[in-house]
Amino acid sequence: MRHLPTQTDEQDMDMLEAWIRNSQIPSQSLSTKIMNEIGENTMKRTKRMKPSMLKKTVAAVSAAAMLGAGVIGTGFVSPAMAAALQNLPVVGSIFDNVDQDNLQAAIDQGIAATPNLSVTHDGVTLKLTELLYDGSRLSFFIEREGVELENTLVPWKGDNGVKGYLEHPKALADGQAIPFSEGSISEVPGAPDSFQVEYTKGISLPEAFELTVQAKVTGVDEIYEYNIPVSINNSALVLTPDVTKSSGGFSYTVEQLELSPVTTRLILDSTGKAPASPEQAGQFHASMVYYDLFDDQGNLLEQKRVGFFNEIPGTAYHVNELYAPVSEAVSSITIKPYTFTVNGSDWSIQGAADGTLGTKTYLPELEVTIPVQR
Amino acid sequence: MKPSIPGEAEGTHPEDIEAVVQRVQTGDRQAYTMIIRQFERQMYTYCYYILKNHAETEDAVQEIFIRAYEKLPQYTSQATFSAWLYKLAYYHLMNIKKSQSRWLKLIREVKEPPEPPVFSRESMIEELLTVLSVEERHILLLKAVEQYSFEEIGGIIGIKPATVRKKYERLRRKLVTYRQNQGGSARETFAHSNR
Repeated sequence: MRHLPTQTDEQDMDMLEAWIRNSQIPSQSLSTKIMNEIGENTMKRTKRMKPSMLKKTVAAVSAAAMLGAGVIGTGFVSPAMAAALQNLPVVGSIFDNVDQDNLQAAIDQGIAATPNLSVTHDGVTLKLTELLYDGSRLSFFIEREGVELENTLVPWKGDNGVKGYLEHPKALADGQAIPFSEGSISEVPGAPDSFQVEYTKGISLPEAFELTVQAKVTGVDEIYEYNIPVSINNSALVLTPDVTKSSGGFSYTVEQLELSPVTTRLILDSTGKAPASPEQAGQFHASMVYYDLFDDQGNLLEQKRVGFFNEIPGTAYHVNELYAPVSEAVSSITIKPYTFTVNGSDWSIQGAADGTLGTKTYLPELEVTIPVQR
Repeated sequence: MKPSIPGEAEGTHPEDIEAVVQRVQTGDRQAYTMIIRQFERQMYTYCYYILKNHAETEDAVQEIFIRAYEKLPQYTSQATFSAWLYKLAYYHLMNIKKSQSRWLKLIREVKEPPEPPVFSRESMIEELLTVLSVEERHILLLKAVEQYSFEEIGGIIGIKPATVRKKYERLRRKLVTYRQNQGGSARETFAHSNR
């Protein structure tokens, strides 16, 4: 016979709850330990970022997977590897850094679109919200709804049978896998239920094609599929200056500057050891050479991703980097090479603090201005 | 010596906590100590009765507070900070339990013998909780430790408040039945401790 709870039973249960609440569990306060840990983490994490990027980067370091050699999503990088690469995506949205005029131009040319296609399976909705293709860079955003999980992408340790994590999506053009040499898949800083897929290098697609995105969610059998016709009027301006600048034993040749309404791409090759300033001696050394771009008004074009490598710089680099776009009216772009000063004992960047990646030592003798004629 | 009970000496009103949260959000890192001290004792209790191991509980409590700190910029006052924190803790504990239920558990069982049984109120609570499913344990602990409403618990573990109520009533019946089937030993312990 089923027992019905009596008043005594109810009182006993209330007492049990009170006991739980007042459990005499011997434990010292953990606040000092926690605060020390937070202090250390904050130090590590703020060294290479702006305050507004703090959260973005924390999210991105743990989740972004820099992928190369045509392999996307075969495995997310472990935190240790991510820390070693220190590749910090500095994007918050596909259309970040794109001003209103450029965005309008991008929309007019079919480069930027907001398809907002929504597919739901088994209570989990994936919405493809933003799409960008400018002839050399393909990006899209997907938002997830219907589950509450800390991460969007499958954690590097595995999904542990949890439903709702996104596995790497496949992108097809006219039914064929899109070949590429470098791309990234990352959670979107500031948007907890979103992620971004981006192919940045080595893609070669026609100006019009049918894009198919196939996404998979852990614990859901069905595939999320989106079909989007893409047709762009590619007006990207490709400059091939083939100009070389040298100083000491270092030289670089600018092969290409590509200007689209949504991206500026710089491609160059360098040889030789980065020139060192007097401060870059002893335990300090110059990093590899980085390149800032400025428009003819002196505005810095923000670099999309600045990579730090915990190693002594090499003597030959092929640089292919993305920057914020320039306005249509720009008449020239100036390349200003620089180095960071690295402490060889722990690979820390000197001058890194809230608001700055580190102190830049510009190399004025290596600057060059590229005229832009449309 | 009486064990130190973290957070016991200090008490902060919920509305003050929201103000402290804002201070941390605007860069006053040290203010986060107040938040830890306010919640760590209850958080420890919650985690301990789920994980049943002090070393793991310490790790979990630390990780939860660190994660909460990292995610604090995302916190808005739509839910209370307390409920937001426990939601984070709930997912963290669920993830730990899930990974334990796989191969990790086997390793631990071989490497670490279970902690010796101690006859205490706490060990009796632990024994009673083994009757419950993981979800039921979370519901009971959230109700007991923070005295949350069904609505708040529903928000934390992601189910409807009415369902939480049903599950809560069912788990209490389960515990009562268990004690009766125990032939009175648990009841005696209750009665004895109640004197």
